[in-house]
Amino acid sequence: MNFVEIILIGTIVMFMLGIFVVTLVILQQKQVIQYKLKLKDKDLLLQKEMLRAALQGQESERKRISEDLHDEVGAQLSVLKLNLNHLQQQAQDAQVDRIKETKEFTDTIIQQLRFISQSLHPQALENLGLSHALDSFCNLMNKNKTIAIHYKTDGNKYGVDKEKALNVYRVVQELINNILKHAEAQNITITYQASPQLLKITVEDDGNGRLAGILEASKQKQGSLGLKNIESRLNIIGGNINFAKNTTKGTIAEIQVANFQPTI
Amino acid sequence: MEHPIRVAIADDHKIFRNGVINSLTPYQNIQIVFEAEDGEHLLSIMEEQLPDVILMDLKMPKMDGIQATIKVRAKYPDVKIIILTMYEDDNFILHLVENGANAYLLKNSEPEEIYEAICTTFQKGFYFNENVNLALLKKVLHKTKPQVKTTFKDEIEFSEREKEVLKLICNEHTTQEISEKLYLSPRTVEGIRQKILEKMNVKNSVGIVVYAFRHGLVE
Repeated sequence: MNFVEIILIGTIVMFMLGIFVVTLVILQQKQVIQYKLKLKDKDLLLQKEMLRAALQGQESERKRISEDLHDEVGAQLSVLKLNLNHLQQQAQDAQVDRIKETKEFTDTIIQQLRFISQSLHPQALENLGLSHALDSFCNLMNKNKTIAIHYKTDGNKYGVDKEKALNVYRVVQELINNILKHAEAQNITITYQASPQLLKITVEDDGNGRLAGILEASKQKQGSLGLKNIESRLNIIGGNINFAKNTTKGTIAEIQVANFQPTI
Repeated sequence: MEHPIRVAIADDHKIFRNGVINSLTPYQNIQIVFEAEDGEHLLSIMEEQLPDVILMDLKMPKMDGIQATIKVRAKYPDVKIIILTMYEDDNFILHLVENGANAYLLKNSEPEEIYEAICTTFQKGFYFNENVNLALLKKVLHKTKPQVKTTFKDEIEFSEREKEVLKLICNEHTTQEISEKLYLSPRTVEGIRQKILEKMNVKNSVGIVVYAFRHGLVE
């Protein structure tokens, strides 16, 4: 073997080694990137789970308070009213009016209690399902606010998964609250439609059409939860929301949830 | 005088049961026969003793008033049920009336009204106050008023080609047969089939057929 051959072979070996090392480095980096991606995915999943747990905790707490108020305090106030009735029968002329006033006052408290309790947790949701619960929500709002809420449904009887139903209910509630606050609307129409695959709820108002913008802007502000709340709730249940300008005036918000039926 | 109306009360709050019983004592023609703490308790007592009228709370542990109403109605069609609840909600009213309740009262009703409801349901079979009437009226109006229709039928748009292929798939034709019928290559037919699968969000031909029939795309 002469000197040139040795150099040539040496160079080739070195070159191959070089390629080998470079390949190794690239492969390793790829792995690192993949690992990081995986970690990120896991992180997102974990975040979602945490959010879900937090919301569930919040909901069960609300439910407990709502039921305690409604069932315990409500029953006691009803008894109070029955007792007042008793007193009224035995009372003298002058006292009768006072007792009557007190009775009416008790009724007012009970009415307020109903409103608070139902806002905290919709009992109709568990017993009668999402569509009826939304209808009840509209009735309740119509009694207490100056705005007129109309509820329309295609009358379908598809069941809705419990968790999804509650989240959709909350989203509609949040939308209505924001419309009341910002949209200067007179009428709201809620439409409930479903096919076996897709649940679609639209919330339509005849206000100033600035709802989407205000919600979007509120995302930047600290402490304001409007749209964030809506989006994270829909994110958890795999739904989405779109805003569009109403043709005449106001805003149309459309909520869609796929695969909403309970899994048996 | 005829025998007094035998009334039972099912409510998980003792204080409320007492309140109602106290306010009914002045009425001579009413006799409280027993109290129950929930639906199960009510049904077990009813094995031995039947009241004429039951005052029924909705929210109760173990078996709630909705379940209890359905069960009582099925087993004892002659026993009258008056719902006495905190829930002021048209949807609850309708649901209960549909399931056999004879009256629906709120817990903060006047004792005179509770008394009247007991007598009227016992004599006439039902007592509908304004709350119930309004809920029923709303339902009747709702039915005649045009409601929204489900518009999902045309929601997914299929092209003419896809519709042709869809029809043939539903008529049990193979890809080969479809390609011959429509003068297309089997690969093109397979491509269209794939597109239909995607649009319908189903996994196989069975899914296509089920979807097509469910949505009235084929007859």
